[in-house]
Amino acid sequence: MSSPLRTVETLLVDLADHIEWPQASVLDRVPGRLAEFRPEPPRRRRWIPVTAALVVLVAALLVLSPQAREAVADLLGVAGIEIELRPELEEAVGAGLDLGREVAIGEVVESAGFAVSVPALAGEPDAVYLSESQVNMVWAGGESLPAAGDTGVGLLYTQFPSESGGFGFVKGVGPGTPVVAVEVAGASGLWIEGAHVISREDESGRRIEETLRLAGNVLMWESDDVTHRIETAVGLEETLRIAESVEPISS
Amino acid sequence: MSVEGRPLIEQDLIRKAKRGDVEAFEELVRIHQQIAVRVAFLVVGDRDAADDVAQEAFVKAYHALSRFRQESPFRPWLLRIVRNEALNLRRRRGRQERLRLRLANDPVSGGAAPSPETTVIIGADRQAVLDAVNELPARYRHVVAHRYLLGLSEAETASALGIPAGTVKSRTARALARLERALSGVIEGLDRE
Repeated sequence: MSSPLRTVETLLVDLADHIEWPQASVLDRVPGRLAEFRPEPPRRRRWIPVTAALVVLVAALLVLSPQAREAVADLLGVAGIEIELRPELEEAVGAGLDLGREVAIGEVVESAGFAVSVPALAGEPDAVYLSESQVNMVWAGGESLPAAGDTGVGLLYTQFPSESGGFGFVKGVGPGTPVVAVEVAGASGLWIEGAHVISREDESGRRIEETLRLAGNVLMWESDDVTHRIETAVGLEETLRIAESVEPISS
Repeated sequence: MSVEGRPLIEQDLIRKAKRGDVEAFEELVRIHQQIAVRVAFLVVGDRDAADDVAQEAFVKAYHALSRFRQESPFRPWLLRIVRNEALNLRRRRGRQERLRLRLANDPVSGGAAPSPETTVIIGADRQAVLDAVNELPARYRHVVAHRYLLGLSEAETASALGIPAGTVKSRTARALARLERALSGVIEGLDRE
């Protein structure tokens, strides 16, 4: 006699072959639509030409003379002249927004203390910041996500462990600011347009005032004891699409 | 196409499609269209709309290919877009989910050969199993449908539903326990065979 749970799994696997699924005719129709689009070109990073120029300069010096090689080695302080040029030489997107310490995404997954997520639709963030237990991910403004104000930031996604259940903790958003209750993939959320400050209470009842970095639109929701917040300049529908693509990063 | 060869071939197809090779992307559509339509169907509960949703999702996926990380698995990324597109449609329609799965008159071809255990499952049992699945709360039904009816792995289910893998695991366990209770009569009948 097999275990009841194993039998349930067997019954479900059998069921899969007997469900009346819809027929797929996507292949007949998609190719004609693709002519409308070309895949978006990868986003160009400004540091690449800078790096290339430095490499050319250093290579030229190395060719010139042994003295030049020594001078470069002294300058860089590296025996054998291993040169690593990092994109961090350029100021990261959102660096002026007081979002915390800039960290690698791998580090934040390891050290945040909760399951860190990323919105799949937005792709990999341009910069990640950690401030205590608050994770801030930033995407540069562009065609699909216009920059908010003069920040250069198109999307700011913030995550932190929830300090109280539900959204009762939002205590104020400033006079005349509309707040709309929404659903994000089944979770309760709030959509706030044009807010500059949100005040909330932590579990001890202490009131915390938070200045919103982009002063744009905000979507907040809570899922699995983590509070998520997206700040953008785009509208509710597009922000919800981004929010519903949020998925945990596997460590 | 061998199972072992698929990831490499798929990686190659993705690389080509990223460069604008439409035929390579068509092959990706051919590989994944069936599961894409089924995922959409589980959200919108409408057969025609599911096909439309999958079509729209493939077009969006093509457009967004440059943001896809080459080393990542393609199917979960695609299914996430499908599910989001399906949720968008559901939201635009302003309807709540009313999906009821039904049994087909003829079994779907192409499945694995039935095990000795499955050969004794009769139509009435199947209907009872389907009824029990349909009666599960949505959060459990989605996980069961993705894991067992669509055959996705735990990680793929987590990605497609946008929930942590641990949540998939715990919901699966709870759903199976509920189904075990609901299907105790069927299970006892099978044990007597």
